[in-house]
Amino acid sequence: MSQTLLPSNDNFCRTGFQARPSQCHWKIQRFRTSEDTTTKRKAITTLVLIFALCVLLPRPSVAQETEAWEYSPYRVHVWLATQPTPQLTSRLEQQIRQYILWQAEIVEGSAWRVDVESAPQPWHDELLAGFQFVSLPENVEDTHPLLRGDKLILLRIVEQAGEFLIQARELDCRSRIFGPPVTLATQQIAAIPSAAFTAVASAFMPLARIEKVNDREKTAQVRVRAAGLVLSPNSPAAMGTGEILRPVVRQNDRLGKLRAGGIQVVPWTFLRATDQRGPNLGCMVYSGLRSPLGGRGSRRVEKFALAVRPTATTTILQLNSSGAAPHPLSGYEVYSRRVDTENSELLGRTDWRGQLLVDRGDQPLRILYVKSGTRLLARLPMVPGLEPLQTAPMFDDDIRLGAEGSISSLQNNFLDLVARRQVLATRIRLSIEERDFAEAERLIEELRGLATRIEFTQFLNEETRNLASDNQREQQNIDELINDIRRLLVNQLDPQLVNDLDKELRAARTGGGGFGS
Amino acid sequence: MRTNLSHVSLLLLAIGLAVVALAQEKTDDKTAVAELPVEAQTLLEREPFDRVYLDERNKSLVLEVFALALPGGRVPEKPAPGEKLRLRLVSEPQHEYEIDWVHVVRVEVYADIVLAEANRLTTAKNLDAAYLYFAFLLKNYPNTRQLPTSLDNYLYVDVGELFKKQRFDEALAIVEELYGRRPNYQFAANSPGLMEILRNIVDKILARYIETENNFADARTLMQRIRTTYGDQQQEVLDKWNKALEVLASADRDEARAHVAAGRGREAHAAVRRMLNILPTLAGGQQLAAEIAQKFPTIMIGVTQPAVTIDPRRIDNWAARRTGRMAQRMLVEFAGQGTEGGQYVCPLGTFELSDDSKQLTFRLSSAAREDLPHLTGYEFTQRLLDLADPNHPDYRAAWARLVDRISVADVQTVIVDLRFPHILPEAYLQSFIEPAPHDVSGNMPGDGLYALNRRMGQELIFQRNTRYPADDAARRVQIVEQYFTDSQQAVGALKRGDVDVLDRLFPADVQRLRDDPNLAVDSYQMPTVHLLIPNPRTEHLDNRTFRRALAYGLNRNVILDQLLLGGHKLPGCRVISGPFPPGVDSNDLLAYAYDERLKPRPYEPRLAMTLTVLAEEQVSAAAQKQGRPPPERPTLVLAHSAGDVPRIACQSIVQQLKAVNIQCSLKELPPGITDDPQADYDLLYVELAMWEPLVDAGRLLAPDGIAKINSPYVNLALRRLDAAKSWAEARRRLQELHAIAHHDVVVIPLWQTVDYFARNKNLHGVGSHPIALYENLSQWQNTPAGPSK
Repeated sequence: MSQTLLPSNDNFCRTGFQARPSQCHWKIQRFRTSEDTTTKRKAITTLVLIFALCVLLPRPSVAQETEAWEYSPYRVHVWLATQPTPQLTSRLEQQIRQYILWQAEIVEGSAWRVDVESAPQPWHDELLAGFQFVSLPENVEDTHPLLRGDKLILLRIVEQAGEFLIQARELDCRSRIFGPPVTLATQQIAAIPSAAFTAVASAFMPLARIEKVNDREKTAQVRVRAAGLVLSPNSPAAMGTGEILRPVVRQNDRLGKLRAGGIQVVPWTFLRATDQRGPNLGCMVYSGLRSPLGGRGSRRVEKFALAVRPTATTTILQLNSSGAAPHPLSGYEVYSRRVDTENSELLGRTDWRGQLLVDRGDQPLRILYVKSGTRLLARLPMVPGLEPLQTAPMFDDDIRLGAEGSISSLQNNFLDLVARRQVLATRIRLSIEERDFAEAERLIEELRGLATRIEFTQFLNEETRNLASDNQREQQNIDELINDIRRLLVNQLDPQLVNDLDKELRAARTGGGGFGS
Repeated sequence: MRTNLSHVSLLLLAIGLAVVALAQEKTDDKTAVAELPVEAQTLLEREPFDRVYLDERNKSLVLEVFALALPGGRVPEKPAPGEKLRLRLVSEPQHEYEIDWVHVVRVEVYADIVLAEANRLTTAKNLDAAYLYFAFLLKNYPNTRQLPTSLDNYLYVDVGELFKKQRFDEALAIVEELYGRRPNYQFAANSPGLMEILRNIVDKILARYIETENNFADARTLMQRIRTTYGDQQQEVLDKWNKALEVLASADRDEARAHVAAGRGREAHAAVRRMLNILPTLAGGQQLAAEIAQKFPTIMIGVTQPAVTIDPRRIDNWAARRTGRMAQRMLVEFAGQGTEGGQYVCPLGTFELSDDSKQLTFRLSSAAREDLPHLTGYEFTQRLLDLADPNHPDYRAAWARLVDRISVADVQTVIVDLRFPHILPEAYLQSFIEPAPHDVSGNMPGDGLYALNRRMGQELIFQRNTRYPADDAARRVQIVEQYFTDSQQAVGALKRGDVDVLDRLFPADVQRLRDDPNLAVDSYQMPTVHLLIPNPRTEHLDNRTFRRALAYGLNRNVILDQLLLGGHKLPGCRVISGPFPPGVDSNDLLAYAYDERLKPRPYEPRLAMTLTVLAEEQVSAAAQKQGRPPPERPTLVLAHSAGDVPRIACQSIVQQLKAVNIQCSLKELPPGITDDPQADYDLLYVELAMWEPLVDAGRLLAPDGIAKINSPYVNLALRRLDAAKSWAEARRRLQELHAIAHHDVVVIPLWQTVDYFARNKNLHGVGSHPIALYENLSQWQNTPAGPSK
């Protein structure tokens, strides 16, 4: 075993040399199997020369970079950790390695360059303890052991409750994002190598580079990594129409190194591939932000898009209030819309913890809308099952909602009052027409008994006195709602109505004309 | 919101159109009335007239003249020569004529004309019409000659016709009237006499009572009356049916004896009650009844709502709650109204809330653990945790939000730390002590004092729970709930002594039963709130303007005062404006959630019609916006549980809604069921035991509550209520909820009733104003007594 040689192979690939995948694979095999020190020495010498050339030669042009992006294979490292049990032997571990390499060659011989090794310490033990214990420190150099190549796939195999769990999780080295864990289970030892490869392939998330963005039309164009090498649409590295991608922005310094805090997963934003032209995918952009991918990419700002392949069936949506002391927002309505329809359906309300469980539907991407009363608070594209929990901070709308409820009640009262006045006015006129003056007089008295404009205004003032918000913008909204009713009051509750009807009655009594005479 | 307000403006315009439409409708109605054809006048409707028959010299003319002024009111037998009759013809009222009496052959006065017509109608067997003529004569011309004889003949013919039509009850009434007028009346020489006719009628009626209807009480009453009135004259028919009763009663008596011998107590009770119902005076019957009562003590409860589920937590199912109190214990139980919210007890021990309202400490008593030996502090803790577990069927979100930590200090002490101070945390713990609910169809006994033994026909039989220590006498007592489909049958059973208690009287019966010296009538401590719950399955019911139209279209005062209370007044029964109880009187502490400033919506049918039209406008506009055709106004389905109160109330509601052009049909749920799981209704009539509005508000109005309200305003108000840290805040929040429910008509409030029960005075220990019927069940004592008088 020549694990120490593998980093050299990695460097070899990073220089942009287009070694044929099969050659690369062969080299890996050869490095692993040969014990000829002469050969080793030759290889090291060659690599040193190549490294020197890389440093001395000018940087490749954009065309060359594009070519490298499309035609260089993913460098995929698999770190394996098997639980030391009587059944999970080192021999089995070796079988697993060989099987993964063999299958990787068969399934995607061109676009992948895979190597498998036992996870080095301390990650081996962390990995055995669980994925959650393997983390990437912030602001580490790209040379960190976890960040070699394009992808690092953590593979753990443990025995639990009488069966073997095979779990894989990907770390995309460019975006430094961990993918969702993939878990397979089997009771047969012989099935473990096959399951291990399946887990690795499932955990793999292809990558694309965002090339163009049209904020107005909410579209983007991405160029798929290793697209020129993918031979089969079933390849784990393949991307096609319908693919959902998650954009990530990486900010580098002038030397191309990641700036501190330079990785940003664009929140609540996904791309959906709608058409494919060669290595390029045309995408629709779904985002809760106004301009999620604004600005052009450059050497200093790289924009990537990672394909998302959720492995769980649900995600908990957590709504918290924004601000210094966030608290759960409970009772907020969450609607869901498929990307291909206009109609949304009520998913439910957040519970007392501000949470709502969102199931994976028949489409991976759903657009969630958070509403409070009649107000839309947020638009949240989501791929349920991708993350166990997603937190969305938003404005605590309770005060405004309470005000809206009160004003809604006032509207009802107001409508009833107007309708009641109109009904009485009509009845009064019919009574005058039928010369039933006594009835008309009684109804006019009834009309006089209804709330007048002044009384309703007082009632309005009283009811809205407590509708206050500390937030100035909210208070403006509330005031506008109240003022709208005031304007309606002026137009609708005309105090002259009673007098007019009274005049009509008197005129009819004296035979002087008037309505119905 | 802006959109809503512009909607309001549009609606205001629509109001004008709606009112014009209504006015047009009213005018059309008037036109329709004016065009109705005028009915032809009958003899009775004409102005009274006489007929004058002239001699042959005058061509035997018959003159119809206005009422003649005859000397002494009679036609002179020998008019003086030259004496003239002055008359005005009906056809020429403006002229007065004189005719010599010598040319007058005969004068027929109006009363005789009417009587002749009555006799003609009688002969023609047109008896309903003839009745009108006789009634007219008796009222206006009672002294008409031949009227009594004609009337007797009419009655005789009428009896014959009624007998042929098998309307024996009416025939009996008429023949008895005829007998009272002329005991020796004989229609014709060979026609049967009155006693023979009476015998035939009584025979038919008794046959129906005894053989068809099993209405032995009425049969006995009739036999007694006939015996008293006619004595030996009807002995033959009375003997015949008395013997028949003896045969039937003897069969039941023998069956009862067989059951006694076999130790089948419930069957023996049933047989002896049947026997006593048939013939209480049967030889040996009383002794046998006493023997059975002693050997197999049974307390019979008459119910008009049977228990299909047994669940003391159900605030919307009276029967489930009633039996639940007897058969299932809860972690804490409502014990009465306190000064601030309800008072609760824990059947397993005691509990207390810390001064800062942030810690609830339970101390389980060893006595309670002796009753329920399987329960430890750890299991009690597990139950409290179950209530906070979202995956547990008994999950209560408000409790989960409230509870921070639960610890067991020792086997007897459980401490619950709360996340924030709460005024009444124990109110959330009204849940089963044991996780598996007691099912009415299952055999697993609950943990209550009594457990369901079996169902027998219309009866549920409960026996002392074997898990509780009791002596043999107590263990033998059975509680039998007998279901009656209507209140009158149930009252009859109570009066006969077939049942010892009648639960939940029909309100109009309360006064009547209070007058019965053998019965004690008492009210329950807590009132019931009656509501209509709209199901927003259609756009109309989802529209709050339409829901307001429904509320304005219901004359709730008439339904409550006239139909349910029968014109009587019962304290605490009143129309309400919201979902919470206003309490029985102004001092009732239960009223803490009710805002008296909100008055119930008045009955305004015209406003209801206007709002209905407005709602249609809104619904159509919304449909148009979505490119759909406007939905038609649906025929609403009003679902209600079985029972006289919901049935009568809902029948009236349907009629009232029809009067405001809202078509509605009824759907009666199976007995004991108070909700339709398929929600196949538009309105659901519910009767709620809203005893603790602080927590029951959520059980009714939350999205997963009984009414499944999805209003964000209600939801917000509920959340604020759950977070209330003082009673003042809780009251304010509840009154806010009341206001929102009232204005948005999320439920249509109907009325509050105070419920009553009646018991035989031989049953003691029931208690005064209990919370539930079986609250003091362990203290009940039934003094064996004979059947009803």
